[in-house]
Amino acid sequence: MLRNARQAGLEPIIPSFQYSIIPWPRPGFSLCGILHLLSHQGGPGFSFGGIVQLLSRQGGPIAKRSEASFYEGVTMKEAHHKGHGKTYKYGMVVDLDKCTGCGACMVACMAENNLPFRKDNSDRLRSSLWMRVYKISNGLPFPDMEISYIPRPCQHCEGHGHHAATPCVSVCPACATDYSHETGIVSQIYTRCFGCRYCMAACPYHVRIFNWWDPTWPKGMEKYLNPDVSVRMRGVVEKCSFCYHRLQRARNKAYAEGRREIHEDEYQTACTQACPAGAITFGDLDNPEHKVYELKKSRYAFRLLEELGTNPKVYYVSTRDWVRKAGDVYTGKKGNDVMPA
Amino acid sequence: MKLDRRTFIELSVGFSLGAGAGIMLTPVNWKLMDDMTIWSQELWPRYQLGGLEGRLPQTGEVTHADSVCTLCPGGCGITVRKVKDRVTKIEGREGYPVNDGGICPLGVAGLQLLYGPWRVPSPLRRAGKRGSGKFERITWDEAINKVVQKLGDLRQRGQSHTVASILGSDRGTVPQLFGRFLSAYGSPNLIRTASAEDTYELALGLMQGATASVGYDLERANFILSFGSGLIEGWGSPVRVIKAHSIWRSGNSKDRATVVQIEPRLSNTAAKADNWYPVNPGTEAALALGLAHIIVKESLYDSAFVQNHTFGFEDWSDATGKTYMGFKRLVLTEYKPGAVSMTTGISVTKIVQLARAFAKAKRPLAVWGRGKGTTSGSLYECMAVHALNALVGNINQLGGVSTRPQVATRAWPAVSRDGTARKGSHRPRIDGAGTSRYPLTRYLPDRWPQAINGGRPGTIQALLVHEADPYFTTTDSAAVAKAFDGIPFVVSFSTYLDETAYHADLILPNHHYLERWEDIPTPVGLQKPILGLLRPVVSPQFDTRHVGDVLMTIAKELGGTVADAFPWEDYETVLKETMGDKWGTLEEEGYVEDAGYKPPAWRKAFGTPSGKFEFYITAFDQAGMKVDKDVGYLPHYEPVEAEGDSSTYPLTLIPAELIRLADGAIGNPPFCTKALEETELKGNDLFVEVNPKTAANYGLSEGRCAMLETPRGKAKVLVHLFEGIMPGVIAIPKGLGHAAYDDYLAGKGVNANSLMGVVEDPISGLSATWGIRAKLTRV
Ligand code: SF4
Ligand code: SF4
Ligand code: SF4
Repeated sequence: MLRNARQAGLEPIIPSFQYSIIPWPRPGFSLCGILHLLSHQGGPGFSFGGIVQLLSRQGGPIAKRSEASFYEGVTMKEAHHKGHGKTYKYGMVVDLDKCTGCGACMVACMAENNLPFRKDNSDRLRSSLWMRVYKISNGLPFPDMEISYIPRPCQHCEGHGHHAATPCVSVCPACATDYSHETGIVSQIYTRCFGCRYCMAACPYHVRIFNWWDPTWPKGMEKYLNPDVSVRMRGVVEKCSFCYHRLQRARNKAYAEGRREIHEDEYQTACTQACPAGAITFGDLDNPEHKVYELKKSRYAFRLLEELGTNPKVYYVSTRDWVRKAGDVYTGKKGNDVMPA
Repeated sequence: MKLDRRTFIELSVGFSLGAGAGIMLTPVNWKLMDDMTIWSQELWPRYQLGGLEGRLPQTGEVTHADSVCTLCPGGCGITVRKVKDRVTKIEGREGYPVNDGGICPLGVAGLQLLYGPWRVPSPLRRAGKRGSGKFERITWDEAINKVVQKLGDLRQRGQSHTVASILGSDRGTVPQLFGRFLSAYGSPNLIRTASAEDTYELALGLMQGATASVGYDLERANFILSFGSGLIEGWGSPVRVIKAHSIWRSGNSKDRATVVQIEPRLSNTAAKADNWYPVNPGTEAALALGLAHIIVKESLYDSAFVQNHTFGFEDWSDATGKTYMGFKRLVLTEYKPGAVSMTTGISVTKIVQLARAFAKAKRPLAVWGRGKGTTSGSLYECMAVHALNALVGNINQLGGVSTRPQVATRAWPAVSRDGTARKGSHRPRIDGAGTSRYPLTRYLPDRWPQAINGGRPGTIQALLVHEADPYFTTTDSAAVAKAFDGIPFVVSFSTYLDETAYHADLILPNHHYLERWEDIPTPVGLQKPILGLLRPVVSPQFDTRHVGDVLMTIAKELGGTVADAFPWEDYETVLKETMGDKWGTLEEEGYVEDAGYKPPAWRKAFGTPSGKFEFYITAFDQAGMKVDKDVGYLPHYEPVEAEGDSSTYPLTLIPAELIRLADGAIGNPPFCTKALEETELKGNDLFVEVNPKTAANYGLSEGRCAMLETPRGKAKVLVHLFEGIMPGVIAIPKGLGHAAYDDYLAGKGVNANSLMGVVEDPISGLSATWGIRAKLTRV
């Protein structure tokens, strides 16, 4: 059975069910079917979600089962709300001048996070990519056309204030996705998700993917699956986790060594590591010692759809004006001439 | 009570609220729900994921092992993450001199190649018609016996020269073993598959008298002028070049490097370049010479180098007093900006500006090799670009272009050949390389099909293929298929069921690169010699054997001098002995690097007859070549016409090479195919890129189905309107159109090689094809 990030027996185990695998059982499916239906009626199902959400925020039973704090003596609730001595705000800065659109980040993410593949993956609506490299153009005719690539993982929106501002978190009736003020990571708990896909509709960045099928691998190929990341069953939504299991691994290591700090290079995402161009920089946006701290302050830095107030934690840097403008194209305020290439 | 609409709503709301509140407030629901959730989730052991019935891998101890990637000529260092005995991830190796931690999409997806259904599970013998894909398993003994019988028989009949071998490389111990085998057996026919290196090696031989590969000091160049090289499409050593690109993009704007891309299509490289000059396809050499014109005319060239270390720049006369035209006069008279502008489609102003910017840059560098460098290309074009480097004096300089040797390894004892071997080896090669017609060329990888198809039957009786997929990668697929039909015995040593293996009679599968030992010679284009060590990080997953061992077993069973040529016990012994004193470092570090390598200084650098860099190639006369025109001795523009007449085929088709699509000997793994753009592949159809202006002429719109036809073949394609392609030019991705491999690749798109024909370079005989005339019709 797949379990959490750990080297059995080598590292202390810090329980976290966040990414543990519990499959999609058939009876469960009908349960979710009911909830799905209810939530679509806007009836009690929706309130149900709200209440569960409430419960979990109160440190109720479900929340206790689902998360555990890295920090002893800090309850889930405290960690979640107030933070404590040390919180992180993990984020990314992508240098679009360097990004070559090679796609190594996409493939590294697929390999790291057990993304399945199908015979025909050419329909993007039905194929799962946690990291997707978009190709946009300035919309000018030959020979003045310009192209830029925009690698897009989950933007891990912080929103403003505590809750209900991260678009997906605010709509999830099952509390399957949450914003952690401890790490700045938007989680996705597959076993809680019942596939209503509200979050997909809410996410302005299209980072979320619904599993229409159970994943399958040609015989023998399951051998390469990464045991640190659960395989997702059909009927649930998934997305980039900022390689959360790598954070768990780094935490375990730090814990074993009696440290509370996680160094910058101890926790790096798979896409960051793979990028041959060194275009992706990952780290704690609040830590002046991390590279992202300065990089995000570049006068050429921008974020996607900033005007929506999602307060995302993925920054982009481009010296090209039209690319920066393109970051806000959908709000209609600027850069309307930008088109998909 | 009057029940009006309002009361009704109030009542209903009240009722609903009441009911709702009731449902909400009773704890029974919630308790039940909670129980159901827990109950359903804990049914886990009984309910498994659909396709993974009982196959979910176990956790276990995590280890890491270093090796080298062999999926392209890039030679990146990799670190493999293992959980127990399973490989779960391939990552770029930190600190490796080629790629320092970076990796390309194909390198990551190597994981899928290891475990995929495309592996050849054991020796296979063809059981149905060729190409029917029907094979039956046989034992290693049977397989080896079959080869020994066939080769023994041919040798006995004095037909040893009808055995040929096609390899992906001619460097390193395994290709050397093949060379040694053929030499002891008695055949001259070792063929290396096509790459830009074919032509660049020749150009370096002619202009510099060097036997070496080209090395580019990309990292330290600060003005990169690329003549269609797909610098970030997977050219040279892909990760290394992408890293260099990031260096060019670093620092403040003042010392950032300038990148100029000359290419008719807005490729990734063109998109990232500071300036993109869409040139008429096939006229790149004219542009290079037009730039040379300005550089010479305005005396912007490096006179210290040109005057003291080159030959044939100025007009000169021989002992008999006959005068010859120098490069200077040629470019000044023939390549005036106006004329060049007409040919290339680049404006006079731009030509002048570009020439000045290039020549005045601190460390300018002109690079050559179309796309990923998977085709041989035109010799004069390569020479014209190389001449630009000579003009700016960057030969063997910092940030320039140099000749790069391999890491020296121990030589093997000479082969003692018997009569058959001597006779066979001296027969002319089937591809015509080294014959009086093409005396300077070593391999003619696109020419052998023609020799079989046009020549007597039985030109090749047996073909041994290793780390190459000639059936897929050779230009003009129809001719290749026909040629294969003319070869009675095809043996593939492929790890994967690639196109060639699919059409072979016998497959003797080599270990996967994560399962075997091998030395990996210096990656293409690197300026320093590096030798990497491939080592097994996982035990063989199937019934495969190391190709080196198999080849030596075959030789030993053939007996006589063929057996004597292989005194080693097994391949590992060969490897260790050949590496000699480097073995220790190799085993420890995984690579040896000649970090202090410096290319020779100008006065010692040139082994040409004149002892100088030659604009005028004296080696042609020495080799007894007939070069008809005087300009034939100088880099000049000799149009390589696209095949087909323009009235039937009004458009020009060029292949587009993409970094997410492997187009060489390795079929694209599923992850990479998944990463393709929606405008490259849809279902089983690929897209042809068409400028909207062109499309309007033919009534084509986005996503429309069309028939793409060239003199060599036709295919159904989808139309993608793209402002990044020159009107009149169309492009299709290269690397699709496999019939072999698996459901994740087979049947998708069309092989670009099946639409192209070979246009031979007049001097080298190599394929100089860059495109073909085509037509698009609505269907
Ligand atoms: S790996 Fe790096 S360079 Fe390649 S597409 Fe992703 S971000 Fe861009
Ligand atoms: S951070 Fe991890 S999960 Fe997210 S896109 Fe990158 S590799 Fe994928
Ligand atoms: S660039 Fe070539 S050698 Fe390097 S990882 Fe990619 S396929 Fe392998």
